Parts: sequence; structure tokens; C-alpha cells
Amino acid sequence: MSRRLDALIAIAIAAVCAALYLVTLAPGLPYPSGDSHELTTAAATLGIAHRTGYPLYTWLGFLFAHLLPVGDVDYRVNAMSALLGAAGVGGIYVLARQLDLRPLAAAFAALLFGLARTFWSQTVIAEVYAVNLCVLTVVLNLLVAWSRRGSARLLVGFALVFGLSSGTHMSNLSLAPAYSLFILLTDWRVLRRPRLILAMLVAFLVGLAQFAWLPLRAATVRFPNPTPDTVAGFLAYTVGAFAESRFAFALSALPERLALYLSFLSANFTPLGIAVGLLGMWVLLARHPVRFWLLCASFVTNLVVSSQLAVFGIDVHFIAGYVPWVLFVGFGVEAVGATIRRLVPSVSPALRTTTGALVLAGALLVVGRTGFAANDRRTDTAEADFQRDVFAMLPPDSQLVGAAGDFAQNLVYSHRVLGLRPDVALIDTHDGVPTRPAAPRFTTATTIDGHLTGAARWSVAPKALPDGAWFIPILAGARHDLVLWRVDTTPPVFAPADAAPAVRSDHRFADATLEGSTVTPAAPGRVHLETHWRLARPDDAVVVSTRIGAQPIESHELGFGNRRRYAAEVGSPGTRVVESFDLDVPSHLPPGRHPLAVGVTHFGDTGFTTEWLEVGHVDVG
Amino acid sequence: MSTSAEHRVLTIAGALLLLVLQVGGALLLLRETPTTSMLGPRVPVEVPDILGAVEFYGDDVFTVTSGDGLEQVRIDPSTVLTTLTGPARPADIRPGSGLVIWGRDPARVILVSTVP
Repeated sequence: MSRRLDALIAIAIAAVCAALYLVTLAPGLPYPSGDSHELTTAAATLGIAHRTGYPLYTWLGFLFAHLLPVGDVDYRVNAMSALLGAAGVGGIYVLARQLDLRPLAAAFAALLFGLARTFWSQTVIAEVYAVNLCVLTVVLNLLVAWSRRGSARLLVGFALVFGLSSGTHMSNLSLAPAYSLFILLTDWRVLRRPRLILAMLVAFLVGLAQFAWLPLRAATVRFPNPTPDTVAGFLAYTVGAFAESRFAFALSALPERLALYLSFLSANFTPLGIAVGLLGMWVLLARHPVRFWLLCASFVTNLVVSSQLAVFGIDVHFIAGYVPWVLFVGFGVEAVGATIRRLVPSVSPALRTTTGALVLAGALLVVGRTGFAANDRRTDTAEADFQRDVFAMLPPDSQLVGAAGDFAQNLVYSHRVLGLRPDVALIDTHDGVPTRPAAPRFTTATTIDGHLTGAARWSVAPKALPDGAWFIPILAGARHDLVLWRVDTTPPVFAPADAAPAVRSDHRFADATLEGSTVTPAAPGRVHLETHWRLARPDDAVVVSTRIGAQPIESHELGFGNRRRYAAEVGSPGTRVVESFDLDVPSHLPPGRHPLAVGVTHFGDTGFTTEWLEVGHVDVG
Repeated sequence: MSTSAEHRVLTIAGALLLLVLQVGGALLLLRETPTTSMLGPRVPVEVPDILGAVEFYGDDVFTVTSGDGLEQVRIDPSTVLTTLTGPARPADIRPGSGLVIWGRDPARVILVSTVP
């Protein structure tokens, strides 16, 4: 098969994956954030992301944010994951072909990777893993191309891109022993060529030189870590990052970590995919032991390093190891095909190929359906809707207090990248203080039982809020922790004497009575909801939910935790409660009139039921 | 060393590596039968299916936000609800509560954290 046809197939594979990723792409800042909000903001402003800094990712993100002629900046950085991730999948096909897999098996291996749920999950949001995969496939393709052609330029190019890859994920450097082994096994006489070694070293260092960016932009660091503007800070920010999380498990935990890994492998490639991959390892070893050592050493390195990480969302760290795995699967598939050819030689090659292609397509369909269902983020508008409404609701010249560092980057993005409400003072650093002491203060920090929650280093700046502040909800987004609070120094009045509902209902739920409600359009994208409740006892904890049409909006405990705090600090909160706040209307709802319903959940000994009452409607234009 | 000799050595070493990986891995997995979880005696030892926070109460299922997105969780009388310190009731699952969930539809065991 000609190189041109292979290139066309690789482009077609990338195009298919790009289409799938773009269709399922999060339209804006995703929820939950993870690091997405911070990476988007860093890319848009050429700032520095959290440790290890990710300079190359940031620069690429900056280019996408400013050059992609579609959507807002958040969409563009999300789309970078989709497009470069898809390019990486095309790169896996090229790699598979370079490793002498036949086109059908190579395409299957690439698409298996591209449709697997974990990788797909990283292509629909702003994250480093899809971009890193793209860079990593370039590294591997250059390395294998050198092993086939022997050109020193390819080896120098490999060293350059390998150094650059540390800027999309520094864990790539752990693959250096595997790559070195492959180079030596391919042609150990490289050691006799000092000029080539020197050229490779220089190229690698040029790739690494991107980290000089960190001290230059250290002032932009918002993450509560040592800043990289001293030698110690630089080392802590880069090679020393997350040292406490590496090799964090005792050897006795090895079986459990292995079981965890296999559960991820199975979730991505099915148990059959594991079996075929195990077979493929032997097939590749028999066919080409040097290439086997490249893939196997890469796979084992990723397995050992990543399975010993003590971090949240560990599955994404295995993505780099899934590349050799799908190639093993490709070799396993070829071996199975060859066995079938031997067993039933009478079947025509065309029929065998067609049948094989259909079987492989079926397998991809199974994997792809799971991936699609798990990663369809088209309606992931909760964060973007909330941001829009937060900045629309704040009074002139008010102050908004966010969580410190990484976790306020949603606010930083809206305020500084989108330029929303420059009159509002945003306090988003750990040492932030109010710049306008008399101005009204608001926060989006998470609370429980009326108090701020979260570990101290991630919570709001200690001096940003008055001691003993109360948090009064004025906007509820479509997720439990998307709430805008007005900060007050006095306890709330739960049932103002002058409050009266527009519509009386006196509907008795199992645990509370809804005396009445008022629903008024507040602004495009939100509706004001006022509900009047009567409880049987002052200390009843009632869970109230809202939904628009069939779309769930939010659930909260009546009083948003303030009734519990009031009972503990002030006295009985009484049996009447008036809740009055704006509700986010998801922007993905279709135009038309949708019923707005309020529900109360009744908990039994072994389960619960939620009863709903329609209280008004919402018009979506 | 000749090319064929190199090839043979690499193949033998690779075979040994694969034996260690595949047979050793299988043996390790067979040993993976700890009597208690790191989280305590009330919760299963195996990897949970969902880790997330309670988002929304539907008619008889609740929605949990996990790293993978939104998950629907159904409980029935066979579901074991627990905290690290003792048994839990459905009413202990509050909006925003952190949950560790084993089993799907219905959930088999739910470990409830009281801190959202």
C-alpha cells in the first residue's frame, strides 16, 4: 500500500474522530472543572497553569484561543483537545503501519483507541491529555521512522519533540529509558557517534527550554504553591511537582493497584480487548523483538508510574500506556485472522476480509457506544450559564469573592478573559483582601450548613469575608455547588412578614406544605422563584428540588443550610420558610414554554420518592 | 553478537518479561483477597463503580456528579447504606454529599460522606 493511501486513511480516521469529538464537545467551561477552567484561562492569557506549568500546552491553547474562528475562548480551547486528540488517533494509525500492521488491523487499533471512553473523555474538554497524546504519537513516529530508515535527522527530530512533550505532560520523561533502550537495540553504534549524541542532547534541551517561560511569567501564578521564580521554587514547580503523590502505595497494595488498572483497561477495551492484547504481545515479540521492547517497556513504564500515583481521576494517567496496548491488540487481531485463514482456507480472501472488517466494526461499535454515552457533553452548559448569570446579577461596583487559586478560575475566566463586569472587584487569591470595604460582597464558594467548606488552602481568602458571615442564596445554578451567595453579617429572616405568594397552592407534600409561590421571568436565561413553605417542626430537614420540563435543575435542603446553622447559633428557625432566588435556565433547552416544577423528597427506611408540583412555566426564546 | 543471536536473546528476554508480567500479574490478582478494605470493614474491598457528589433527586433515583459526568443511582431495600462510623439511612444522603458507590442499578453499597 502506498504512503499516500496510508496518509489518506490516517486523515480519514482523524476526521471521523474529530467529528465525534466535536459533536460531543462541551460548549463552554465544563462542569465539574477539574483543571479545565484553569487551563483555559492560562491559555487565553498566556499565564502559567498549575504544576508542572505546561508551557507547550499553554502556547498551543493560546493559538487556538486566538486563531480558531469559532465560538468563545472556552469553546476553542475545548476544541483544541478534540482536534489535536483526533490528529493523535490518526498518528496511531501511521505508527501502526510503521510497525508493519496491515491497514485493517492498524485502523482498528487506532479507532479502538480513539473510541475508548477514557481518551474520549479528554477530547471534549480543555485538558492536557488529548494534546499530549498528539505530541506523543509524533515522538513515537519519529523514533520508529528512524529505526526503519536510519536517518540521523529523524533521531534529532525525535529528541526535540520528546523534549517539547514535557510541556504537555512531564510524565512523558519517564519514558526516556524505554526509548533509549529501543535506540540501543536498534543500532547501538549510535554510541560511537558523539556528534549525533550531542545534536540529540542539544535538541532535547531546546525542547526543555520552554520551561524558561515559568520564571518569566511567575507573577501570573495563582495556584497556592511555591512560585517558580527561584531555583528551589522552579524545581518544586517542575520536576518536584506532586512528589508526595508519586510511588505513594506500599508494595503490599500491588494486587489492588493491578486490579484497579485491569478494571480501567476492561472499561475501555472490554475483557475481549484485554485477551487479544495479551495475545498480541506474544505475536509482536515473535515478529519483531526490538519493537516489542519499545512498546512493552513503554507500557510497563506507564503502568508502574501511573498505578502508583495517589491522585484523583487516575484513569487519565494511563492514556499514554493505552497506545502500546491498542497496538498489541492490533497484532493480536492479525494473529486471530491468520489462524482463521489457516483453519478455513476454502473461504475466498474477499469474503474473509469483508467478514473480518464487519466483526471489527462491530467491536468498535460496542466500544464507541459506551464512549459516546459516557462523554456526550453537548448539554454541559451549567457552568457557562451560571457564570453568565452571576456577572449579570451583581450590583454595580460590588465585590465577588471566589475560592483561592485553581478553583476560582471560572470566575477569573469570565471576569478577565471575557471581560464581564470590569466594575466588579474579584478576589481570587489566597491573600486577597477587600479593596472596597463598604461595597456589597458576594461569593460562589461552597458552603455546608451555612458555613464555608473546603480545605483551607482551597477555600476563600481568610480576610476576604467578615467574621461570622452568613450566606444568603440569590442564584442557584444547575449543579449543587453553583450558588451565588450574598454575604451578610446578620442572620437571615426566614419568613419576612410582608412576603406573600402570587399563587396560593397549600399543597401538602409528605414532609412540608407549599403554601404558595411566585414565578417571574428575571432576565433572559433565568427565572425568579419564590416559594412559601410551612413545616411540621422547626428542625425538619426537607430536600427541595426544581426541574424545568424533564430537565433536572437543582436540589437543596430547604434554607440552603442556613436553618441548621441558625438553630445551632441563634435559636429556633421557626416553621415557616420563604425561599427567594433566581434559577438558571439551561441554555441548551429547546425554545418554547416549559413547565417549572418544585419537588419534595420523602425519605423512607429503605428508599425515597420525590413528589412534584407544577408552580409556573419558563419561556425559552 | 550476530544479528540472529541478538534476536534470540531479545526474544528469550521478552518471553521471560511477558511470563513475569502475565503469569505474575495473574498470581498477584489471585492474591488480591484482603479481608478488609482500606476504608474500613463496612465497605467492599473492590474498586467502586462511582465516586461523586449528590446532585439531584429524581422520582426514585438520584443523580451523582462524578469525574465521568452525571450518573443515575437507584437504591432499593437491598442497598447497604453506610458511613465510615456506622450504618446510614436514605435521609443521610443530602444534596452535595460525597458518595462512594459499589454496584449499579440498584446500588449494592453506598458509603456516605457527610461533607459535600
